[in-house]
Amino acid sequence: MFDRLMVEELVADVMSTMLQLDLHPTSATQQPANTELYLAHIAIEGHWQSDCYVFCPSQLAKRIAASMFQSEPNQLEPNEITDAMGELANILGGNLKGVLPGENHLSLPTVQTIGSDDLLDAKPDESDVSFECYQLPLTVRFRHPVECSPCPQ
Amino acid sequence: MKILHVDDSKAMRMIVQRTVKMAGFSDLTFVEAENGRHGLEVLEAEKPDVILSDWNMPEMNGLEFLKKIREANNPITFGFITSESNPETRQEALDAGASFVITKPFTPEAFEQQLTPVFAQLS
Repeated sequence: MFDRLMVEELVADVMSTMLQLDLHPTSATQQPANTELYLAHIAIEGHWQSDCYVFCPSQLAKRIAASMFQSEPNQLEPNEITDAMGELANILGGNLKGVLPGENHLSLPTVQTIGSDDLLDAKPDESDVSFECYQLPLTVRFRHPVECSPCPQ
Repeated sequence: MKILHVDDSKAMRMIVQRTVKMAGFSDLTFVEAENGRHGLEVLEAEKPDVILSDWNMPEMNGLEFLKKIREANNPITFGFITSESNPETRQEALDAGASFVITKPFTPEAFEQQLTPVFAQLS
């Protein structure tokens, strides 16, 4: 139900429409070694279940947040970067949820920082769609939706 | 014209308000709340003309917030700005008493289209 092209178009649309940030799909999926990443997560729950993760180096997360807050990257508070990445996950998750039939809802987003060396590879039921922005990688990882059985009441 | 803008994301509050201004609506005052529960307090204190609300928020989400307002027989114009993009959610919003739903990502034109008739009616 989710495919790479749909995710690529969605991410590009969000970034250009709302943030005026230019990003390009890339086949390169590696995050730089020994780097702090911001990792945002949102879950889709209900008739279908899925997860959406967005992660990128802190440097790019600050650029994204700076665009949202119309500020300079080095003037941001950590909670503002967290807010921005969480909202990015929220928008992406909401649009992914929109293609799923049945009654589904979004979790609230969560955001954490992790070392790039601690980032796990995508599981077999997950796919990564990667982009380059300001010569830095941004990855959207989604878990292929699973129809629940039985559905939650 | 006073707008109560309810969203748990400060970043999104800034983006929405910026986009509304880009849509050509410059003579507006925004008051803010972080969730529906806070929104009820600000609604009582500030008596806005229009509410713009996110859907997915902690403590009290946008739908619960709208239902509380309508239960109190307050007919204030209420619009959602949300990443919830499926038709069922849109219909649920309209059935609960929302006047419009703007989905994220949005453009200034989307706000112009939805808010122009709202402000014309309130003027």
